[in-house]
Amino acid sequence: MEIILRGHLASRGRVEGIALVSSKPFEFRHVDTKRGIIFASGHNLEGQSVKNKILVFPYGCGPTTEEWGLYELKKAGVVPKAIVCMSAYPCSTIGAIISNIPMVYGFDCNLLEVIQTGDHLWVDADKGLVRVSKR
Amino acid sequence: MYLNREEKRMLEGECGELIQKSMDLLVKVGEAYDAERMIEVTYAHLIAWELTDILFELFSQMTGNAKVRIPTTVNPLLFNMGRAKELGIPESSMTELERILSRLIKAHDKMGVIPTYTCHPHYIYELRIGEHVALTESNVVMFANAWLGARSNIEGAATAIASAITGKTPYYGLHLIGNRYGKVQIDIGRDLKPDQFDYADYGALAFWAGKSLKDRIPVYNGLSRKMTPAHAKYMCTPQILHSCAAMFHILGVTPEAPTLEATFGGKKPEDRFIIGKKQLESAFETLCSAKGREIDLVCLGCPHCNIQEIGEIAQLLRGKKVSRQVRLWIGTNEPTRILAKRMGFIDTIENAGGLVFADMCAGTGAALRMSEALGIRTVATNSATLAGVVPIRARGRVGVWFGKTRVCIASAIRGKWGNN
Repeated sequence: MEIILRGHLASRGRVEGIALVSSKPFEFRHVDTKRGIIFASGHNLEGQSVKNKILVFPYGCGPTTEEWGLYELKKAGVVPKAIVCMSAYPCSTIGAIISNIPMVYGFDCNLLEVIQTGDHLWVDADKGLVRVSKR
Repeated sequence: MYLNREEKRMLEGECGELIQKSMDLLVKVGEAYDAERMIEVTYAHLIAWELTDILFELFSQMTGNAKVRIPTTVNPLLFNMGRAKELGIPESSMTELERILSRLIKAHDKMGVIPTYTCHPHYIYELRIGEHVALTESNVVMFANAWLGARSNIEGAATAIASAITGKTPYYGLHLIGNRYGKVQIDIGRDLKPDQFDYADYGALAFWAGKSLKDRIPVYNGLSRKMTPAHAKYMCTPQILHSCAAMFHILGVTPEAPTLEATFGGKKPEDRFIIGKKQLESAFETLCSAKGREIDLVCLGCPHCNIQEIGEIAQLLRGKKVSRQVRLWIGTNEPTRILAKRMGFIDTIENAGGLVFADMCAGTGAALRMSEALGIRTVATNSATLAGVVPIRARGRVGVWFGKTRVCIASAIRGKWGNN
């Protein structure tokens, strides 16, 4: 089954990959900058790696150094392939732009109900499109 | 996105490569939020870059030999090297710390940044209502929006630099009046006594509210009309720890909240929550992550203290001694430290065994980064920011007791966390 979701460009690029879905708001400062592992205790993705995943979350949050978290992951080669979220916290957007990671936001549905971890996603950030192939 | 002639010249590289890169970043952010055009900003605040070489390299690539075009202040450094001995920074780390701090200070000086090194520059640099500015650091941005009525989006480190050297920002988000209205009403329960709130209560309140906000601006209804700017300062970052709402209103107190109707732009709130005694207590519990009652550090001034706060701390410490096992660190900016010295507060605090530092981030800076070297495992604080940020980032190595200012000071004296 395939679903097409229409959102809005945050950071340009086109990529495909496997979804990793965070049910909670996401802070990149809670990801180990060397290994890409989420270390925040109690997070539904605790212990998992964001590397090469398409990270899906409701919205970014946290102090403004968010963008550095993402940039350091990029430099360590453990960065997600793309970000798909409902609200675009400016610090997540800025992090995605300076790290050259495609990012899309908006959508008129609850992403967390539509996309599950393991789904195959095609992200065309320039057009604000996400194609979901359920696993 | 519409760009005027000057902005086009900047984007096309006619004003140099650094300005071109900055304008390119600002245009991309503008596209992400459908900004129609750029606007002029009159002030910027930067974050002091972290100690890693990767981040300093990014900073250097963006700043090069550029100068700031508008008045620009800067956040605290992670350490104050002049006080390294008193801080207890090990000799073995000094050379490396000196290298990375001095290169940053030099870079700021070269750019023409006002070297405030504080997370509350509003004590030093004043803003007017409606002024368009480009600020990073959640406390700085949110205080400017909420308490001062100035207008800034929550900028990242990179966009704050880009705005400082171009004098521009994309016109979107909190720059537009229509995006500044309240969406969620937070009523203060009748079983609370807001007239007696400590800084910690304000922080816990905003931390609790943040969990239900998502990106929606809250209107706090029922707080004391006598609350001070220092009280509001403790609400800023805690609100954004679980939300991305970089603004709040306090009914009857903040400049854009004269009446409920005006604050909500004539609309009904999308959601309404009551915070009573039970909710506030649960926020305090969540923010307390420490296990044992022994404490290594009491850390106040996150965000940086003003002169009244330092006076209050001095009053609580008069004639007392901080326990030998405990460090007491109080953060502020340098002009306030000089004033506190002049008023005798510093002598009172330092005679009691505490330390008052300027220019550095004692909590999320030194206490977090140097916790292992300094043997800091348990911190007590009145700052919901510190309590919310440090334990997670320290991955459980540091626990926090979060409580009212007088409890923090009493605990510093006793050497153990507790109320009596």
